[in-house]
Amino acid sequence: MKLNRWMLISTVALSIAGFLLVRAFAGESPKVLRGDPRRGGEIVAIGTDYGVVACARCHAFDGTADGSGAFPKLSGISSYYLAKQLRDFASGLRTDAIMSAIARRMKAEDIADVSEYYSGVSGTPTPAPQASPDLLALGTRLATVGDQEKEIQACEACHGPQGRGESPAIPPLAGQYAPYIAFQMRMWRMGYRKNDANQQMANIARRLSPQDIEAIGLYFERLPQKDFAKNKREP
Amino acid sequence: MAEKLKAVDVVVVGVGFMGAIMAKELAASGLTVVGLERGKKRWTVPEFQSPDIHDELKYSIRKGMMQDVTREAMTFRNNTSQEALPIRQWEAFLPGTDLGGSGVHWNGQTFRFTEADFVWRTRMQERYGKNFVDADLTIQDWGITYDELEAYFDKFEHLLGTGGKAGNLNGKIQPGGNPFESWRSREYPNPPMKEQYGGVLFRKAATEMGYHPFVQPSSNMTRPYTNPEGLQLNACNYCGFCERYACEHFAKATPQTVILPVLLKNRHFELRTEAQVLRVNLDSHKKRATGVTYADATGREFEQPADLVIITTYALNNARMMLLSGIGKPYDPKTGEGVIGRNYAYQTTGDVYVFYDESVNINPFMAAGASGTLIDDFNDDNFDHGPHGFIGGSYIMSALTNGRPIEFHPTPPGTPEWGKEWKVAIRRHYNHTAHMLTHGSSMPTRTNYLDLDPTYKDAWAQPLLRVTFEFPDNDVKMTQFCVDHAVEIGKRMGAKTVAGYARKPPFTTQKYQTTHNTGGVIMGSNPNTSALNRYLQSWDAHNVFVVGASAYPQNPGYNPTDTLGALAYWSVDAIKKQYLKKPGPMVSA
Repeated sequence: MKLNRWMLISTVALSIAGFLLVRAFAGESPKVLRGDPRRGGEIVAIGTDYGVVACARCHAFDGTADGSGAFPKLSGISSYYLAKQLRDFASGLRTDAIMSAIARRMKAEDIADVSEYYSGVSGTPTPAPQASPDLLALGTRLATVGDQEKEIQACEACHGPQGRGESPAIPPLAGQYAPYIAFQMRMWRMGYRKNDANQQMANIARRLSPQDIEAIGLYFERLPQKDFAKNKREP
Repeated sequence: MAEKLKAVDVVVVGVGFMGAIMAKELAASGLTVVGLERGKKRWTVPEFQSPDIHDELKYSIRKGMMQDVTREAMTFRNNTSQEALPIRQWEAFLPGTDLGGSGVHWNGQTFRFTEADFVWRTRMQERYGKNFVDADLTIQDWGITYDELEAYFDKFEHLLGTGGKAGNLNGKIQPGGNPFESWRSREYPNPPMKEQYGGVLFRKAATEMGYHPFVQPSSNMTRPYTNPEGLQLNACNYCGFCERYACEHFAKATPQTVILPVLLKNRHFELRTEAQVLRVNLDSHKKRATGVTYADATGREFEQPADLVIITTYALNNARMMLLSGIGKPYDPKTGEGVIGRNYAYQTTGDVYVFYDESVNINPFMAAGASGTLIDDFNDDNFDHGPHGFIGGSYIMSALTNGRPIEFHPTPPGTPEWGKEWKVAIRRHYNHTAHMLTHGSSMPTRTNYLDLDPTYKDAWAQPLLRVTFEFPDNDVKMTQFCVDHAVEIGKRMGAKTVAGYARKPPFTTQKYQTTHNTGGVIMGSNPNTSALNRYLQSWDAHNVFVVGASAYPQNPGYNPTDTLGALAYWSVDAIKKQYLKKPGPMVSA
């Protein structure tokens, strides 16, 4: 469905912006608030006076974050996925020392606006990490082919060819920082993160060795982060 | 001259679902087992991974996973006055090949047959009288009862990780399940699938009309599952590539995901792929098998001696293997005598398309092979057939297993079949059309049967199987009745246009219906009218067992796989507990 979201939200007040009915499956039809990227940009830049910290402090204006790998890149990830993560941080379904506190202070429209903002920005390419050929070969195999012995499918079966994601529900991994991917995989593996459908990620991460996890992160970080936002599909 | 190999205890012909179950159980009891598979090895990784596995042209159109018709086809005719010709491209049904067989490309639809199905002739006569059933129909009882099989259904469903909601727990009807199902001893191992939007609309309409909708039992995982064999499966993500495809996610129960890895680790088992079994060999009295002869990929022939021969190929190929081996008397439609090739049946399906306006988005691509919503009110013996003059029935299911672009382009009646108008119509209707399937029973007749073709041969110079089939009047009436009811539901669903298509003769091999071929090597209690006894043991050669839908005396309105698995576990249990202790006929003729 092609709705011109700019037209939709241009002059109207946020509270009546856009409601879309997601009819993915029965019993799962939440009304999705369509965000205002301009207001989202303001929050990213300066935060709010009720304690939402400016996102750009860690994630940067263009979503590339600070290059340390401690904070994820956000550019070009679908607003659907970003908003779900923020709601999950707020509800406690997903926890993080920093994000949980921030998300709890965010209003529903803040979440929609910030998510809309980051889904529409283009990131800055970052240098590919150094990696041994063996580790890269392992990462490439796991990500593109999978492992029969461990009974895991290729990461790209869901996260898309070249890690481009399956927008809107499954995030892109191409260009994402390897330390961040590996950290999240460990979170899944240890049961600290469990906010996906059907515990799919936990189930897979539990069968991966620490070396597998490191290798997968390195494989994806080295892939070019395309401008996923341009062909992003909204629900 | 075939090279004679070292004898083993058991040879299993065809390593698909049933072959894997039989081999696994027997190898686990310490017997040496050789599995002979005509196709190649293949695994979830790497063979089933995307993007290749979503190649619709390769798998759906060119039938990439099916029996190679250039080497081994079948011939078909509608009746004995015609000359049968080889099927050069699979369409009506799709027999799989390679390791795992058709269990790799199935949809995961997992229905049990009912108490009535196993005593079908008795039940029809008791309820409707001796003269009600069309005399042309050769329906029979199975020689086994549902109660005897219940534990084996349960075992197979737990192997598969089937998701569903029980409708009848130990005789007590359960809300949310199918109230017409026969009793089950416990709940399904997993919860039901999510409903598609078309299913939601169907459920609402069917409920308003007083019917009993429920979500289809599915062996596509609804959550991560570890089966009793210790194998782990992942949850299905509803990608819409089940039937005709393999699952890249370890989310569909297939031999590869639920049993083969365990079987192959057993040191008593040996798998030989690209081993084309040519015949079962018999001793000089023709009363006992001595093993099998097979050809490897280079054409070299080997004789594999074995004490026990278990035939677990595709249903139609089971009948052919018996005919090629000369086990059991071939059926003769003129006299009605003989057992091999007898009671061949199929499935009688119909389609109903529900065309909505553009405000209703069906999203057909968000689907699994078994994510339908259905009613059983017009299936089986769940309603009084007295006024209708036929037996059997169909389930009516809102079912879209995919929205794949080459195959799925519904258009309303009157739309041209090509050109600009057609293109405009498929664009208009693609996302706004619900589909209902009527999936119905198939009754055997004297004139529908299987034998060896007198003319055409396969790549090993052996006669092809000849299929002679036409829809019986009984089934034509039945399917029209069910499609009419489905159309009424469709109208209630609030659509602009509802189009129903009941199957009508002549049967054609060039239109996909289902892969559910049954009969040909049927089970029963009388050696004159069945090829196998109640343990799937050949009446004619006691160390030959034939496991497959070939054993069904007639085909009820449900998908066949669950009953197949139950029969396999039932049969292998009897082999282990009775036959191995005292080899010989387990039922006296």
